[in-house]
Amino acid sequence: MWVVACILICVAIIWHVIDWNSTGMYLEMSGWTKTEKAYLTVLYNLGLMILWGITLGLLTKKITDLVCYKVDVEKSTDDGDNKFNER
Amino acid sequence: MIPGIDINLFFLVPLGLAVGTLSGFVGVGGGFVITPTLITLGFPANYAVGTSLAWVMGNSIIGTLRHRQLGNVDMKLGALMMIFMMGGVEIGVRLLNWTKGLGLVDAAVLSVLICILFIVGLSMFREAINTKAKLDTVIDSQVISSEEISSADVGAFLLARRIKGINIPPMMHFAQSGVTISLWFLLIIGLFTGILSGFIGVGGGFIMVPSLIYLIGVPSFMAVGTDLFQIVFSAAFGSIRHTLSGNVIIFAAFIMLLGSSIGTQFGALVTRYLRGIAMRYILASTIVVAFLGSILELVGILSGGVVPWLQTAVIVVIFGGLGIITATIIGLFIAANLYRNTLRIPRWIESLLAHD
Repeated sequence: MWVVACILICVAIIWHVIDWNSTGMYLEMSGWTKTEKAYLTVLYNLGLMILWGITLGLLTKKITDLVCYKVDVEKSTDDGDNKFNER
Repeated sequence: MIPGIDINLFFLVPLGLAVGTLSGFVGVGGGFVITPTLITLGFPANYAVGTSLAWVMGNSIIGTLRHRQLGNVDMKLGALMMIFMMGGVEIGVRLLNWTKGLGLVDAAVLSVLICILFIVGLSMFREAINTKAKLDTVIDSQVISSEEISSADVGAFLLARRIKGINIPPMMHFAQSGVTISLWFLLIIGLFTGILSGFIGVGGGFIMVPSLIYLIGVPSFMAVGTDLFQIVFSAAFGSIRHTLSGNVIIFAAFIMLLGSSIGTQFGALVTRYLRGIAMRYILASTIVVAFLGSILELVGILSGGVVPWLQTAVIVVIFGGLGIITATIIGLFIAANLYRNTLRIPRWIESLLAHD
C-alpha cells in the first residue's frame, strides 16, 4: 500500500516538474529572484526538494525492504572496531 | 533551462547514482564531485554550486531517513553540533572575505584545503591501517567475538578518550552514540570545524565525520548518519542563499536526485555489512582524491592557467577516483554477502566485514 502511494506521488511530482520545465515556468521563476516574489521561488525550491527527497527516500526504502534487505531493529551495527577503539 | 546552454540531462542520473552511493556510505555531501562535473557539463560555476547544494539537501534527506532506520543518527548531537558550527561558519566566511580583500582568496583557500585534506587523510589512513592490522591479528587467532576484539585495542582514538575524560561541567550525555562529553568541548570542536567549513567551502563529510569519530569518539557509522542529518540543514541554508541569487537550476537537481536516491539507499545499506574500519578506509581514500584534485587546481591557479591539460587532469582524478571508490564499495558488499553465505573470500578482507 505504502509503495503504491509513494509511486503515485512520485509520478505526480515528475509530471508536474516536466510540465513546468516545458512551459518555461522555471525560467520565469528564476527571474522572480530579483523581485518581491523571490520568497515564492525559495519556498518552491525548498518544498520540491524536501517532498521529492522524502518521497523517493521512503519509496526506495520500501523497495529495498521488499528485495530482502529489510531492517527490523533500530540499532546500529557499528560494533567491533569502534567499540574496541573506545576502550 | 539556461538560455544558450544545451546540457544532456540524462548524464545526471548515473552521476547521482555514483555520488549517492558514496554519500550514503561515508556521509559526505558530494558537492566536491557534483560541482566540477556540472561545470564540465556546461553549467556556469555559480549555477553549478547552487544546483549542487539543492541536490545535497534532497540527497541528505534520503540518507538521513535510511540511517535513522539503521539506528545511525544521533539527533541531539547533530543538532548541537549544527548550532555550534553555524557560529564557526560565520567566522570562517568573515575570514574568507578578509582574505579576498588581500587579493589572495583562491590560492589561500586551496592551500588551507590541501593542508587540511593532507593531515586528515594521512591520519585516517594511519589509524585505519593500524586498526586493521590489530583486527587481522585477532581474526587470525580465531577469536572473533566483539568482546574479544574489544580487548585488542592498543590506543586508537586516544584523543577522543582524553577529551571525554576531562570533566568540565556541564557534561552532556548522548545515549544514541553512547558518548558523554563536556559541552565546552563540543562548542570548541563545532566552532573549529565551522570556521574551516566557512573558510574552505567544504565541511560535510571531510571535516565533520573525522571530527565526530576522532575528537568526540562517536562510532563510525553513527558519525555518518549524524553528519547527513546536519547536512540537511546546512545545505538548505546554502540553497536558500543561492536561490535568492538565482543560482539554482531546480530541474537538474531534481533529475540528479532520481539517481542518487538509489545510490544513497545502497550506500547506507552497505553499512550493515561492513565494519566502521571499512568506512574509514573509504573516507580516507575519498579525502586523498579530493587532495589530489585540489593540488592540480592550485597548480593551475599558480601557473596562471597556462597549462591547458590541468583542468582535464582534475576531472580525470576526481572521476577516476570516484569510480574506483564506488567500485570498491560494491566489491566489499559482494564480498560480505559471499562471507555470510560461508563462501571463500580473500583473508585480508575478513577484518573489514561485519559479522552476521
